[in-house]
Amino acid sequence: MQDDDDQAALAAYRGGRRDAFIGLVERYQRPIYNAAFWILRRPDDASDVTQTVFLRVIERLDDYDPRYRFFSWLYRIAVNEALDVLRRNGREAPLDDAVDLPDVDGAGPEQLVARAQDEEQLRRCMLRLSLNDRLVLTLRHFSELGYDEIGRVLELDEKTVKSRLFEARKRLRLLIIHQKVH
Amino acid sequence: MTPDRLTERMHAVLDGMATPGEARALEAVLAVDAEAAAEFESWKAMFVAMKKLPMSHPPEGLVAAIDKKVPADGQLSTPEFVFASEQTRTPHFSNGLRTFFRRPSRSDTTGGYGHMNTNRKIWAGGAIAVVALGVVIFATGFPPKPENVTGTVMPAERYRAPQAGAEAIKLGEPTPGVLTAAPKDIGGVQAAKSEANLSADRSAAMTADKSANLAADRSAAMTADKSANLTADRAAAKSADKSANLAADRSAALTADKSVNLTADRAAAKSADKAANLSADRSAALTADKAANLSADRAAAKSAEKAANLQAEKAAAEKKADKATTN
Repeated sequence: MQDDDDQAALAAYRGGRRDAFIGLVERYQRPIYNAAFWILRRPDDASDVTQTVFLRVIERLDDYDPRYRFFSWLYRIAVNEALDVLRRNGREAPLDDAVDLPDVDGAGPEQLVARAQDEEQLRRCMLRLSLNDRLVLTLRHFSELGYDEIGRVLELDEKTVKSRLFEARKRLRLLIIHQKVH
Repeated sequence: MTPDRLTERMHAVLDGMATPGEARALEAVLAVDAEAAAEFESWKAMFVAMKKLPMSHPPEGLVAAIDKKVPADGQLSTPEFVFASEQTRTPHFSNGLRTFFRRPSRSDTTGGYGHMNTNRKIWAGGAIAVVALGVVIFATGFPPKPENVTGTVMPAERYRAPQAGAEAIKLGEPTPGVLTAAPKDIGGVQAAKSEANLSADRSAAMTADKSANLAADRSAAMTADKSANLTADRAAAKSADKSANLAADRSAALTADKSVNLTADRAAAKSADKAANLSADRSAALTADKAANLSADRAAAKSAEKAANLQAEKAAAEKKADKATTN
C-alpha cells in the first residue's frame, strides 16, 4: 500500500510535480536519518547523508527498478552513502562514553526517567557493536526490512543475512548482560 | 535440535519469518522444556525493547534544505550532473572511483550540487593542459633525449709559437736581417695569438658550460633526492598510521573479545550456579518427600498395629465374657 503511494509519487515527480518528491522526503527523512545515524554514530554526518541520499535518488531515478519496493532501494543508497562517508574518513570515529545521542520523541520528564535507563542502555550497547552488526540490526529492527530486502541492500544472500542477524543479536544480548552485571 | 538451532528458530518466530510448521514445532518444544521457554521469553523481551526504542528526530530544517536543492524533474540529469551520475550508476560498496572523483566535504553536501560543476571544470581544464603539454613535447622534441645529443668534447689546443733556432741567435751582433725578419713574423704571431685567445675562450666557455651542467645535474639530483625522501617519509608516515590503526583495531577487537568471553564465563558460572541451586533444591525436596512418606508409612504401620492390638484385646475380652456366661 505504502509502496503504491511511493510509486505514484515518483510518477508524479517524473511528470513535473516537484511537490510529489518533497512528499517522499517528508515520509522517509526520519527512517533514513536513523539508519544513517546507527551506521555513522554521529548526528551531523547522518544529517548530511540524509540530504545526499535524496539528491542521489533524483540523480539515479532512471536506475530504479519498480519491481522492488522504493524504500528498500532508498535504504540501499543510504547505506552506500554512509559507508562512503566512513571510507572517506579512513576509519570509524572512536566512540566515547559521552556519545552524542540525538533527541528522541518528546515525552514528559517522568516518563523519560522511567524508561530512559533501559533505552539508554540498549542504545549504548547497539552503538558499541561492530559496523556489520549495527547494519543488519538497524535494517531489521529499526527499518523493519525483511531478510530478502536486507539481502538486497547489503548484497548478501538470505542465509547469510539470517546468520549475521543471529550472531549480532547474540552479541548485543551479551553486551546488555555485561552492562547489567557491572 | 541443537541449542543454536533452537535459538535460530526462536529468532525466526519473533521476526515473524517462520513458517507455521516451524512455529508449531517451537511451541511444542517450549511446552515441555522450561529452560527453552525461559530463553524464549528473554529473547522476546529484547525484541520488544528494540521495537520500542524510539526513532530519533532529524534536525529541524532538513526537509527545507533538501527542498532548496530539488529541481523540477529531469534537471539533475542535465550534463552538469552526468559526471557524478556516471560515477555512481551502480551503487556498490567498493566503489573507489566514486570516492575519488566525488569527494564531498560537509560544505559540499550542505552547500549543494552546484559545487560539482566547478570541480568538473577544474578537472577538465587540467586535462586539457596535460594534453597540450604532451602535444608540445611530441612536436618539439623538448627536452632532447640523450641519443639526440651527440658531440665530442675536445681538449683545448694552445698556441705554440715556432721556437727560435740557433741560427737566429747571434750573440753580440744585433743584425738588421734578424730585426727585419721579425716584423714579418709578428703578423703571424698576432694571428696565432688571436686564434689562441678564441680557442681559449671556447675552451673556457665549454668548461663553464660543463660546470654549469654538472651543477644543474647535482641540483636536480639533490631535488630528486629530497623529493624521494619526502615521498618515502610520507609513505612511512602513512604506513605507520595504518599500522597504528590496525593495532588499535586489533586491540579493540581483543578487548571486545575478552569482554565477551568474560561475560560468557560469568553467564556460564551463573547458569551453573542456578543449576546447582535447582538441583540442591530438588534433592532437598525429594529428601523431604521421602522422609514424609517414611514417616507416614511408619505412622500407618503403628496405627495398624494399634488397631490390631485393640482388636486382639477386644477378642480376648469377648472370649472371656463368653466363658463367664457359659460357666
